Amino acid sequence: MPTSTYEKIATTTLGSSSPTVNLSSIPATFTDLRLVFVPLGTSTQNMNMTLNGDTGSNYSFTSLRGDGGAAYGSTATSASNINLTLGTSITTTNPNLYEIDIFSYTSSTNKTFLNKYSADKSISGNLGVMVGLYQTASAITEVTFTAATNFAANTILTIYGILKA
Amino acid sequence: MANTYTLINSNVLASSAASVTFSAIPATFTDLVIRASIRTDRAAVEDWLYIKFNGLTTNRSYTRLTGSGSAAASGRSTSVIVLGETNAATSTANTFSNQEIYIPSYTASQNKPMSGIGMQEDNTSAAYMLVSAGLWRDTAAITEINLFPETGPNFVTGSSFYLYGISNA
Repeated sequence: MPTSTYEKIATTTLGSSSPTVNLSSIPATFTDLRLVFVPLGTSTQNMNMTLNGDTGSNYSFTSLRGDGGAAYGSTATSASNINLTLGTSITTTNPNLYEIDIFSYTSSTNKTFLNKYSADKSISGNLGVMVGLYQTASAITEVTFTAATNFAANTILTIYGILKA
Repeated sequence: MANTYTLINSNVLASSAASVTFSAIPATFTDLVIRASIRTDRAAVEDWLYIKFNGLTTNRSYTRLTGSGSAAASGRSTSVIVLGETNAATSTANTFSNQEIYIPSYTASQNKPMSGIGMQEDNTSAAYMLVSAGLWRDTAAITEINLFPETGPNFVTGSSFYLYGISNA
């Protein structure tokens, strides 16, 4: 049987509201990680992502996004988390979609990630592509999404491992 | 070992077609991915890729981010979903766009978000790309997907469409 190169590592679906969605103990047996996150909020609010529980000033990211009226670029350096609601928010009815690739997550070099996010809300919309850097020599073993208030039930996070060998 | 990324169906056009439909999509996966290589017969260099679900044309909206090699722009609609940019009839011969569409939680009883990206690159001074956030405000499971060009009227011979299921179980 050929080697499976795209494998689910873990998934969580919230059964009730929670301020965080977290997956830990990510094994070091893959090459890259892909996160698919489909969040709902208990209200309209912001959220962010941290890696390995690190809230130090170790994140930087650059975004290209559009809101249906104009295109924007922005950047952040020495951030304490990764803002995933630039120009948008999580809401109660229409889920956002985040497709986040984290490359070479076990390497001893700084970690790069690519986040494609889609947040059409019918009456308005926002989307973008973000490239980012997490400065650490440690392997990534934990991913945490934190809402300003609470994620709602039926928020879904899945982490896949991609294997090159 | 679990197989998490499975081909559900494919369609490589042997003749031009006004649309491509994937029907009877099983509910056994978590997410859907469509990868396609497309060119249309619109009398222009580019065209847009439209999508509808379960045969319905209601409750659709999307927001796009576009680039032409010289400028970026954004727009949106509350009546259709456009998920990519394609090569068309006056684009350089034998060039086809690449497309990827991601639809998470397609069986969940909630509104359906999705992403799309499609690029028309043909080695000329202007090329076009379109990144899209789509939303279908319907709680029904997606069992049918219909893809068609904005103007076309046809996808040309050789256009290829692949529907994959991703399972998190």
